[in-house]
Amino acid sequence: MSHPRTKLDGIIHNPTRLSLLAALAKADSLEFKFLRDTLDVSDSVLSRQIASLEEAGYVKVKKGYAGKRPRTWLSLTQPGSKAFEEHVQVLMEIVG
Amino acid sequence: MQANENAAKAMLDDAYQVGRAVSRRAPKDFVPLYFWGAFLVLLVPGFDYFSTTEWGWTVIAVAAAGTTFTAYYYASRSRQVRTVERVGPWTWIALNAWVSLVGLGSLALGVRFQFTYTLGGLLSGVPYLLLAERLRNQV
Repeated sequence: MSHPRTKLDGIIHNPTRLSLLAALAKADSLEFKFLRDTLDVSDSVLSRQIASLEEAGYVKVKKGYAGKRPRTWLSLTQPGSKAFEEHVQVLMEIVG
Repeated sequence: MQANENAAKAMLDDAYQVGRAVSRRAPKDFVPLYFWGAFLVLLVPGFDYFSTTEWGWTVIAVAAAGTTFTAYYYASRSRQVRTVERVGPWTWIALNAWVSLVGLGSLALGVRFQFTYTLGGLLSGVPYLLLAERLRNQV
C-alpha cells in the first residue's frame, strides 16, 4: 500500500497555495488585498501563486472596479474546491 | 515519518487559521437580525407607555440609525469578503410582512385592549432573534 503522501496534489502542496485555497474555500470570493494581508505575503508572491492556481483551473480571477478603484476578486472553481478537499483529506490521513 | 506528520499538521493548522480569519471578516446575517429583533422587542412596547408622537420620533431615529448601520455593515464587509447570503430575500420579505401584520394587529386591538404593543413587539421581534441565534450557531 502506498503512503498517503503520494496522493498529495503537487500544485496545492505549496504552503502559500494551500492557505490561499483554504481562504477561498470559506467564501464566494475574496478581494486581492484582503487575501494578501491575511496570508501575509507580498503582491508579487500572491500574484505568482494565483497564476499557478489559475493555470491549473483551481481559481478564477475577476477584475472589476469599486467606484474608481480597480479591484481583483478571486474565487475557487469546482475542480479547485474538490482538489482542496481531497488534499486536506490526505493531510489528515498523514497526521492520523 | 514524524517529519511528514509534523509538516502535514502545520499545514492543516495554517489552513484552519486562515479559514477562521476569513470567516471572522465575512458579513454575517445574524448581526443585523439581532439588531432588528432587539429593536422590535425593546422599542415597540414603548408605544404602550409613552405618547405616540414622542416615542414615534425615538423609534424613527433608532430605525434610521439601524438602517445606516445595516447598510454600512454589509458594504464594508462585502468590500473584502463576499459570501452567499444565508437569509434569502423571501425570508426578509416574510419577516417584514409578519412585522407589518403584527403592527396592524396591535394598532387595531389597541383601541380595546392594553399592552397590545408590548405583545406585538415580542411577537414580531422574537422570530428575528430565533433566526439570528440559529444562524450564529451554524457559523
